[in-house]
Amino acid sequence: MTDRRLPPVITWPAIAFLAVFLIYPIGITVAISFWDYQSMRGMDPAFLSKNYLKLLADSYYLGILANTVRISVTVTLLCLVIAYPLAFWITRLTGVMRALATFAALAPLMISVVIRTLGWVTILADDGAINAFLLWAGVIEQPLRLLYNEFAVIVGLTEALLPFMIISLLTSLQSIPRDLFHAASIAGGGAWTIFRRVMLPLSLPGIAAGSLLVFAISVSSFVTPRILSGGSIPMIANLVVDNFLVTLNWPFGAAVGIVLVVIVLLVFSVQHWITERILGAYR
Amino acid sequence: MTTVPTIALEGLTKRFGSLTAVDSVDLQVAQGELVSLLGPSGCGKTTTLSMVAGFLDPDGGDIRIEGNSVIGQPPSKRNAGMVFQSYALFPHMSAFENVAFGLRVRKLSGDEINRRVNEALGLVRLDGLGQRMPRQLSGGQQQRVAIARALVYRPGVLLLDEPFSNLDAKLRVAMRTDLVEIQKETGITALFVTHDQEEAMHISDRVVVMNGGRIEQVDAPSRIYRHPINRFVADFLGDANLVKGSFVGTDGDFGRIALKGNDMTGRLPAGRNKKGDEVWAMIRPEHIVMTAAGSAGDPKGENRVSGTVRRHAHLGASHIFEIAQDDIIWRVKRPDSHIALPAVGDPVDLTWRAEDGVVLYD
Repeated sequence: MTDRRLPPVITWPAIAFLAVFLIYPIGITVAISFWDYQSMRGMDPAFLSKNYLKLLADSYYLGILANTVRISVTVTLLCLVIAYPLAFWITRLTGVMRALATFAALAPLMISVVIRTLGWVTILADDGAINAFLLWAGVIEQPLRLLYNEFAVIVGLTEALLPFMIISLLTSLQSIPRDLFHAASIAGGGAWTIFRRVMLPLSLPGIAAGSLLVFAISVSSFVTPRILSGGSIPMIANLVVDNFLVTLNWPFGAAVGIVLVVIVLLVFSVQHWITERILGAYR
Repeated sequence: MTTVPTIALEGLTKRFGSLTAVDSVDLQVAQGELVSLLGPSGCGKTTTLSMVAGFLDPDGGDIRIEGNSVIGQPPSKRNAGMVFQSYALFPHMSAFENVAFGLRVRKLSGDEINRRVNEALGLVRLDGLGQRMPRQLSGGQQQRVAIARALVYRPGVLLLDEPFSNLDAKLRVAMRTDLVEIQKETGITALFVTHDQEEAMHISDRVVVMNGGRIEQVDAPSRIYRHPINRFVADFLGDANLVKGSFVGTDGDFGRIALKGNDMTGRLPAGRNKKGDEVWAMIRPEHIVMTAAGSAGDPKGENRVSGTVRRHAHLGASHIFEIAQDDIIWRVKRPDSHIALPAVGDPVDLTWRAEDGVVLYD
């Protein structure tokens, strides 16, 4: 006899794994985020709101929070705008060309983020490829400041996260039957009408999934901002890492980490609510 | 009276690599006519339709709709409506909005759109279902919405790509009847692609039989059935006995063929008829009269063979017999009735009239 109230046995290892390595650590982190910390004494179990108040009342930390969200939103939008035409083009290809294009779009995932980010340093540096070219061409006389600022972080993150957006959009665009475009076209629809009234609404699930994925990864990234901003523009995740590994203020680091999770969950809920409202009608 | 054909194809050609999918096709469809492109898969019928619609560019030849060449024009400018095998309804729009699509694109007023969409939904007998989403409609209803969507902006031509293939058998027949009714009522010129010969016979004013990218024969359905031009057409349209023989000579409008053992007389196609030519005798199974061996048979049946019943199948309305005459197998179709039919193993005589037999070249 199987008890329908229990999940099937085959899923138990996964559930056990997640319980031990995800639920339990998150629980601990939530608990620690309320603990006390004194620089001379280390941390003490307690139930205090001071870590959260410190984060949400201090303009320095609020600034980091705002930077993180602003950078992540920008990166998400850039990925969307760059990936959409690319994904659409790939769906139009056939055979070997399509396989090659898909591979090329996803290949960056096979290289470590650290390596790719260091690649951007050599391109964006004062004596990097772009400045060298512009100086040679006589467009500029002084090297442009391309590295160690927000621009560099946005460029690096966009490049790193583009494959995730492409995969999501590709899946979604591929599932739209070609006949729908034909039907819209023969009924008199031009390219813009077909895009706006057929392709865009039907690819919304992919847009939502891709955007959420890119935003969530971007908001919790720490290698790319650390290297490309040279530490000048810390993001939330950098704050978490610094508090856990450098200042050893675990309670504050835990509170920042929890806020990060809440931001992602919030964005996920809003995205879910919007897509359900738009797509619920025909699902 | 000479009028410009609504659709004219001239030397239309399409190649995919080394394959010529459509090979210099010429066809004229008159105003208000319903013409079917019929053939096996890969015969070029859908490719031809796609070129008329504008989804594919031809490699050669011309397509004229209402007298004007549409080569290079996008589908949206061709003043055509289309119904797809997959229905191709927009899943995120209600039936009403699906139908309204072509009118909104044309920027008609809200009142006008309302009036015309409801009129179109009435035409396909879907009054009151406008607010349903496609997934809430049955297959037949979805295809009706698609027909309304294709007709609502009053296009010059209606293109249909195997529109009923996804429906079950009974519904398919009902939809055919409805389509013919709607087509005659609106007077729209229609080009209909199908691989179903019964469907083509049922609905068409004329049938275009295609094979290997070329047109084999164009004529009214019953003309094609009774006067197929070659072996392929005879075999593709309906059931046919095809027996190889050699041409003997002419006898007025008729020709004689030497088959194994017997000679056979049948109608002769115009043109080629040289003694000794390899030809085929074609006779429809339902045109053969089958009687007990030694009986008179059809008194006017010039053609007669004797054989033994080898197989019998009851298909409901009809019975199919296979009669073995040495190594030739004749298929005979008889209606189901109270009249006694021979059993397997019985010797029988088969007779048929010369006018029902046809002499065919490959």
